[in-house]
Amino acid sequence: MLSTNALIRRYTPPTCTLEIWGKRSPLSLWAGRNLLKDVGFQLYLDDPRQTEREPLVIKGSSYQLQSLCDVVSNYMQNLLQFRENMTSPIQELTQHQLSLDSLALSTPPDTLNLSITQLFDLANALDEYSQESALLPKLDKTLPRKALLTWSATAATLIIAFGLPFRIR
Amino acid sequence: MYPTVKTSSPVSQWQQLPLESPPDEGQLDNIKTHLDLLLMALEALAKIGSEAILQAAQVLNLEGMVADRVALWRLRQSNPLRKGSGGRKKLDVEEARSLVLIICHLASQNQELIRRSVSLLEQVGNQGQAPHRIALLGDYLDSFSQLYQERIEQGESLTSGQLTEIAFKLMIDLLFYSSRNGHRRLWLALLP
Repeated sequence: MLSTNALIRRYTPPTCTLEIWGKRSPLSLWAGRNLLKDVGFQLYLDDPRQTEREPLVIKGSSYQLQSLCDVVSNYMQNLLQFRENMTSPIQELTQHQLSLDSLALSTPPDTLNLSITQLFDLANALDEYSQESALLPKLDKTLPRKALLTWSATAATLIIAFGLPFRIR
Repeated sequence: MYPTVKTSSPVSQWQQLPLESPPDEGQLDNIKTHLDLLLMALEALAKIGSEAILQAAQVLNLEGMVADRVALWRLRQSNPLRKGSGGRKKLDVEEARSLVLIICHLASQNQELIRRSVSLLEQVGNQGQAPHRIALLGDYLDSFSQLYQERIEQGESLTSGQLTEIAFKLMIDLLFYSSRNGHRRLWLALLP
């Protein structure tokens, strides 16, 4: 299915690659800009300690990507929380396990084991995506309404265009 | 570090640090301590002194908040864990915002060094090595421990193991604050 999709955006911090895919909607012609449907993502996680291994790949929908953003963001903010007692062993500081249960992925993994630099890179890629996603053209759920508005505007223009001469007459 | 990263202007960064309700006394004390310790970690790791902090304030158009060494000293002395007059000066929200932007600016300038240090810490953790045997980490630990013991009230009573763990926790925090979104991450960590 992804082969018919177009790559919309790629984020490439050192230890992961986040790709956003989507299909261009025929309604784009009317909207005057690219509208996307079936938006999905592929995330490739490289482990610098295991260079001979294939990267771990996670695929999913835009909703699952939003869940992943929430999981990583919550985990990171909890990690950065200032505590009276800041002491913890080095292993606990540098190795992290995130549960992916809320994503309900059709294929494993259910958990992500990340080093702290991998977590940093992933958080940055997802932050960049979150900030840009508001600007990315979408069709899912909300955009048919926008498309409808475009249609209405077009129809109104046509009525005005055809209607005016009759009035003048 | 990444070609796609764009820096926001200081004004727009300031606007990205909202405050829903004023922090209570306990939160304010935590904020003052947290900001001072992060600056201490930057001092130890990147050899950043008052001059570089004041320069960052100038670049960010925050001279009004941090005009000179005395103003900076007073701000940092607001940390209640400081020896002597620590905690006497109040830190208002605008001053806290200014320090957040300054810390993240300095962390961003030193991101490569911070990342290299954190990567070395990962290796050390995986291989079960002693971190102080790696020059970069050892130098940082020495500087941080010295600053901490000089300035913090009960600094001398901490073991070297506890100091090491505090130093590395702050170093990792700085990595997260060195990115484009760092100021928002730090603000959220201060005001959960």
